[in-house]
Amino acid sequence: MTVDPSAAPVLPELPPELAQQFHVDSAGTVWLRAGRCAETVVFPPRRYCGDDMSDPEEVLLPGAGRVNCVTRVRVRPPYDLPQGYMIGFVDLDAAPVRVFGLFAPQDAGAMVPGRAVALTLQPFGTDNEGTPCLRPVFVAA
Amino acid sequence: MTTPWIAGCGLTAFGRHQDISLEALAATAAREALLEAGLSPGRIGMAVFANALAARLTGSLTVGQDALAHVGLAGCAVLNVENACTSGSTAFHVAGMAIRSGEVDAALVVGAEKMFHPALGLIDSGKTLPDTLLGRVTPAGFALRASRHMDRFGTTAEQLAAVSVKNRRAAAGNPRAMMRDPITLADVLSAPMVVDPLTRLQCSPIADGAAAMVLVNGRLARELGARMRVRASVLTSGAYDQVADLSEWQTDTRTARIAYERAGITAEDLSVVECHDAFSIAEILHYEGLGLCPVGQGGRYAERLLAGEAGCTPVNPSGGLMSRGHPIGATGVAQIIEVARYLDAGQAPRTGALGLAHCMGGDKDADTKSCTIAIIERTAA
Repeated sequence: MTVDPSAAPVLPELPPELAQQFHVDSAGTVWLRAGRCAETVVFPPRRYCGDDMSDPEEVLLPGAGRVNCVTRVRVRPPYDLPQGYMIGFVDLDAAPVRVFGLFAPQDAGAMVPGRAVALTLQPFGTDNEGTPCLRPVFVAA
Repeated sequence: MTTPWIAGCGLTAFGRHQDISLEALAATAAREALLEAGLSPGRIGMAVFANALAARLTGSLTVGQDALAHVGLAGCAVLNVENACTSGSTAFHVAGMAIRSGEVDAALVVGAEKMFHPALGLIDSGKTLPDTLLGRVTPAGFALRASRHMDRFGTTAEQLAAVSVKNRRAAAGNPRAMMRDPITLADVLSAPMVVDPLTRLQCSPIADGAAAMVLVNGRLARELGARMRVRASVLTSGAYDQVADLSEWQTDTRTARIAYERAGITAEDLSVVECHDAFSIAEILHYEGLGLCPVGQGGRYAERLLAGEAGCTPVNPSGGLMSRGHPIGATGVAQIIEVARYLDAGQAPRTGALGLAHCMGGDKDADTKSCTIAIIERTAA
């Protein structure tokens, strides 16, 4: 399923590179801002379609999918991420797109290949001043 | 078109070189290559200098001109190349293109890196990539491939560890390698976990080092008595296919197919392979991508190599990145030198012997940003 976006706002809480890629609707649901060129949906979107240099059609993809693979990073974390954070790839249900993302620590034991997950926006790690960092995070569905 | 030949090589030891500058390190390797080739700097028509990190770590730009002035190279074209881990092999590729086109008769290729620097930190593909901001440091991309390979093919932690043990054993015979003390499977498996399932001993260490070679055309090769002909050199980038299975590396397969076609050979013709074993799983994926074994059998192939079974192509007899060390800008050149030296040494000194050097660099959308393959033949000019 894809949904036409309507002037999706940038999320000021996220770094610009991330904020451009997600949309939260009035119900609090997190969507991925993908691009469509002909029948191919790409996330993150390319600036132009390679076939004819046209602008991609912007589509919003629901963040529901299944875990493809997962790992835990044990070394000192970068970018104010918490120690021992989990990451992996998720195959989206809505389109043939595989998305890289963070996995919620509270669901660590459940994050195995094939597990259904959903995308949320939640605090994940804290910055140097102790302020929680808001990030897109997959949770067990 | 004229085929490039390797006329001379220079290689520093890889490791911690605290008291020598990047420029001096590069000049050391360049001098050795020029002397081995028997060619004066005045006969070099072009130099290609590879370095990946100096701009980030020290703010140094266009280092190639600074380094090569130390060996009296001035006035000719100097090109600086950054292409992540393939910076050196990309420089080799570009220099080979210049020879092939007839633009120059002789080119100097130099790769150099100094990584022991307090500003280094974890290596990633750049802070502007969304995946990086979400914590995708370089080892993580390989660890995810390892997880997928284990899940799909039943590859075991012991098979991953076999790569580390094999390469360390090989490095014991390489005086330029950084890590030469033997290790066991138990050592590898009990080492601190970096990113599951990769332990510290399954990750290539940072290093300082430099490598250089002189490439020449056929006429100069005959004049200088060169014995190493470049049968193929290929540089590709990733396909960024978002649904490709991570347990196979299609960019490897695609690049190898092009290289074998250009050289007119198959994987079975190779006497030696040096591949980009930045992490243990990478070497296993490369066995498969390069056609040394069927897809899914890379873990078993690692065990066979460790056991010294007949019928396997030697892989990373230099110790590979994991034991020789991985000074990023130098690695791609060093791999080709190691292949050439293997072909010219006791192990496979026959005319017509072929070796392959493979490298990968950078991460983007679950793929590598660059992939290089060079196929070298030992023959007479």
